[in-house]
Amino acid sequence: MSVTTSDPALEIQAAGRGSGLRQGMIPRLAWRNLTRDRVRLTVTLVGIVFAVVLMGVQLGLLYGFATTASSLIAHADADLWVSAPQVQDVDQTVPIEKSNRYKVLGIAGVAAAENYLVHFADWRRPDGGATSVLVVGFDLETGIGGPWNLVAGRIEDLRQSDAVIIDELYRDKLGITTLGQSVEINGHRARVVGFTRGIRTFTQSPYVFTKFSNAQTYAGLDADQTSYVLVSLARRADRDAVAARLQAALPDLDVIKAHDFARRTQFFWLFTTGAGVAVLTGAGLGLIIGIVITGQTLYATTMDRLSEFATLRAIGAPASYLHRVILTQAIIAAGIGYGIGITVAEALVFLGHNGSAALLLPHWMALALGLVTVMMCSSAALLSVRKINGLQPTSVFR
Amino acid sequence: MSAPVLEAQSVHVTYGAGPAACRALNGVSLEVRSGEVLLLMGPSGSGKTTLLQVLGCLLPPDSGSIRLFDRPLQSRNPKALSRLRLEHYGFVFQSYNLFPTLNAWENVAIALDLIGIRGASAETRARDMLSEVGLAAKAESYPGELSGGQKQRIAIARALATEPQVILADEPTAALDAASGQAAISLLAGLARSRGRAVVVVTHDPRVISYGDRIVTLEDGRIVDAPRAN
Repeated sequence: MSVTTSDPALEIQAAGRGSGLRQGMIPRLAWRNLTRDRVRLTVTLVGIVFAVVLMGVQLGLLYGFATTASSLIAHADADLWVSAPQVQDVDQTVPIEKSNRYKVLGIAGVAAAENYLVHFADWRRPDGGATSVLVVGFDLETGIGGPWNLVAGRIEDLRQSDAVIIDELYRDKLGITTLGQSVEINGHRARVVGFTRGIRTFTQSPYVFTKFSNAQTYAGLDADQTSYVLVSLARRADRDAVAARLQAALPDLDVIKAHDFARRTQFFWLFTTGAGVAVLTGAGLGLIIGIVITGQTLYATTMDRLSEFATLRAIGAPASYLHRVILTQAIIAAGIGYGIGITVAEALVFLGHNGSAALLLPHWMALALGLVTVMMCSSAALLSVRKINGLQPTSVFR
Repeated sequence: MSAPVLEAQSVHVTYGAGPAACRALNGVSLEVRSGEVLLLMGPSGSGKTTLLQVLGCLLPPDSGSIRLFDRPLQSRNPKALSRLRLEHYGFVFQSYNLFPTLNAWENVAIALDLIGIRGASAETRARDMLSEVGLAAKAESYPGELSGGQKQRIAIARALATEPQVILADEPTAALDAASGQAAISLLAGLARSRGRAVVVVTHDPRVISYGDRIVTLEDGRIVDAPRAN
């Protein structure tokens, strides 16, 4: 409904309608509303920071777990993996015949195929203590499936008999202080010739890289046994087609694409062991706590300002104007809380980079967490919006 | 004589229903013209504030009609009524209803913000309005730092900033001492007349009478007389 008039006083209003793109008073009002009660603002921010840190750490752990669980697959640089049937994860293997490699090489579209061995073994520390390790045996000629991030020693050093490479994260666990120290793996002598950095293991049994023949010895497998055959495709070869041909040629084995095997491994460790559910529950709790605390404090702020909101309604502010004030309050709180929270989370990631559990917070996850924080605070503001919607502008009259 | 800016015709308003129903307005008709200051007086519960709410498109009448610039306000769409209040009305409240977190010029600028005047032009206009009500020096002060009279003058500046055709004031002097109250109503009436605005003031305050052009007295929801004040 509108009423037209020739009154020139409306010129000022007409002028105003043409300058509606600037931000105006809403951010100022929202900021002042938030900061008027410093204690309440502090409680709001503590809630948001707590939620951001909890979500960040939990999701960072989940991502770290997933990355760790499938790190061998990600770094093996193979297109397809051939394994015993129903292998659920890369670490827990069932031996297959080495000769399958030759069958694989005979399939059109296959450029290379190498045997690859992953097997649990007992590591006897120099001080006599024992721990479980995962022996990883790979072909030294191609290097496929070998260690990465080497910080001491060389891959070529593994040509020496009994040579192994471990990650420096596990030096204490494995009782290794310097290169060249000797230990026993399943009763066979092994000598540490190199260290990697940051190759964690989800099972807490450290990876011990060695050449394939050594690995067979350490694992106690027969000379004709392997865990996997890693397949590299020829250029322009169709992955699905080659996988189908391989599966047809090896009906008693599983042929799986690297990406799918990584997913299968991640799913196994995260969701059949309960580890993933636990960290996701933690992240969910963080979200709920954030919504509850932020919602409660924003609602209390709204209740304190109810007469002012009613005044705005009485003088003609549309409900959307009030919604924008409340939403802006929520977004300002989200921005500050996120800024502090993500800084704390990044600090924890930094402090935890030498820990055995990977805590990873990639940029995309940090950004996603920012969006989640804004959504969390916006949804927390819904309670206030609901209250505002029921506000009677006549309540300003005494 | 100019045409009425705002008219109420046979307005009825009843609160509640059944035996507990309370008839607040019972066939009230009145009009107010540009440059005119109309005083609504009467005892408590006589329907003054209800009539002000009806005139201000804050409360729809059960029957009867309100006409603004000789056009009936038939829509009860809250959004349309909000827009109407924004474009054509200014409000002055008994308790000033300023925003304690905003300073004086910001309190005026928020009314301008609602009609889309923002940034430097809003600040300039808000400060000009504060000058007109004699508070230029207090532009940066917050309501908590000001006296009641000063707060009411800011409220008047806010009501007039958007150049509305109708000013509705609810007991604007009730919370003020005698001097401040007279200063506030004098200012409101003077500025409104000089701008040719129609003003409706609900008041109990006999000191206000001399500032009105016309008095309408309500009792039990009816107009009992409508003498000219000046």
